[in-house]
Amino acid sequence: MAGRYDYFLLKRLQSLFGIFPLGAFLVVHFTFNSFVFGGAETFNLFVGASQGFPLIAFMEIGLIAVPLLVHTLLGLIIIYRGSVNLVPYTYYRNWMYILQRVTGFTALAFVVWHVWNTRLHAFFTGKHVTFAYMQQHFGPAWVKAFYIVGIMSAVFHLANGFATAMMTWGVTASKKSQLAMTMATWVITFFMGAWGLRILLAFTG
Amino acid sequence: MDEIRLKIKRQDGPDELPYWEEFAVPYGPKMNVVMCLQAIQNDPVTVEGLPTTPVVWECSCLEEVCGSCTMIVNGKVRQSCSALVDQLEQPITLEPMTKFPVVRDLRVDRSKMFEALKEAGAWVTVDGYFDLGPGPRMAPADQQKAYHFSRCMVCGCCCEACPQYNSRSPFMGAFVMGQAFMFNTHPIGALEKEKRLDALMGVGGLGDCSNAQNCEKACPKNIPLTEAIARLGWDTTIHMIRKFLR
Ligand code: SF4
Ligand code: SF4
Ligand code: FES
Repeated sequence: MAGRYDYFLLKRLQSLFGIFPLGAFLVVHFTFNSFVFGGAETFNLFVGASQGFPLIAFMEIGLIAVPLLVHTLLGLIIIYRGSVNLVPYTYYRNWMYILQRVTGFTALAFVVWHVWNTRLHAFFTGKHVTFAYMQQHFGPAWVKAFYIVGIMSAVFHLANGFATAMMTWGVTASKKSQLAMTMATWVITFFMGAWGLRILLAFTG
Repeated sequence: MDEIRLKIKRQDGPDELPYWEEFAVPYGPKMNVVMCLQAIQNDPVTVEGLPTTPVVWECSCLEEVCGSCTMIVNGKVRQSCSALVDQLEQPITLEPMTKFPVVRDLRVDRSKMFEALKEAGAWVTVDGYFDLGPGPRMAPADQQKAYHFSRCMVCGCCCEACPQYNSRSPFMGAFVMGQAFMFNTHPIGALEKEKRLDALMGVGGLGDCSNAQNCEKACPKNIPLTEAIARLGWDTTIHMIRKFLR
């Protein structure tokens, strides 16, 4: 019988990974990047310290790269199997269904590009990202725009994904609890979005 | 208004290409879409005055309880017997459902819905014809809950509106979740609860729902499908953990 659960398990893994470790990481990522509020010095010190952390490679691969890959691959299968059905049925959740897929795509494109510029760059050149580097990186207007879109996509994707995961796992079954989670989606999107944009602003000045 | 205009998407057979034809039928008070189709059947002539074949459709109860007359009326899926002409914009467009194979014109083959019910074991097994005595009692509150789900007529509206239900996906559809949930809470049905949960954890089961919740909005019987889906989401998780542990 055990084999029968593979399908179910994969879907649940996709749902779980979105919250932990990926969603949790986003919060941690924002938290640590908030060192930038302390000024260039503090930020540089933090980056140096965290990159020097002995288990960093395991954490980055095991807790971010692999779960992200699994979440993405399964997500793409889900997108492929879905269909857009918005025109006749313009209900709130249906909009969210589409938005979740769109923001999944934009967030993915952003994350790949962001990781390339701010992490793999350091890996290949052997130099850590610094405040000055980030300032220069944020120079062009389109980069700033892409960051705004990327941050907001990721934040919405997490907040709405959290609300649907609560349904998927059967925590919120009643209309009332689902409505509460819907409101939480927007509160989380708003506050985390503001937080993320505030970090961006701290670099660009 | 002395005539009713209809635009109907027609298809001569499962493998033929669809085409549109327009009809005008005499207006009468309190007419529904089925009555329009009956009028066309009596006198199958298009608005251009060309004789054509009668439009094929299905219907039976004429009171929105059998689900057989389900089609897309003015872009939205619903039962044509309860679609009142006075409440519809004209020309009234009629199309077959898009998620099921077309047999002819507005008639589709929904047998995969029945297959899904079989797959999920959506029934109560009573073995033998002998008298089993009175069944177990059911609390009135549970009866009330079950009543909502018992009104499902396997019409397919929930499947038609669901973005996850299509030819690329093996998803069984929301109605199956409603039925499985109902029989899981039934005192005799509960004896086979695990079998149903197993089926819903397989290909095409709960995992394929993405919480768009169109199903519940589209359901003409207002069946709380999303509640059933969420409750089953919980039950299947517990079931999986228990199966693993013992
Ligand atoms: S759940 Fe509702 S929409 Fe779906 S088949 Fe049953 S009655 Fe029709
Ligand atoms: S909640 Fe959405 S994806 Fe799930 S069955 Fe209903 S319409 Fe389909
Ligand atoms: S004929 Fe039975 S639902 Fe319309």
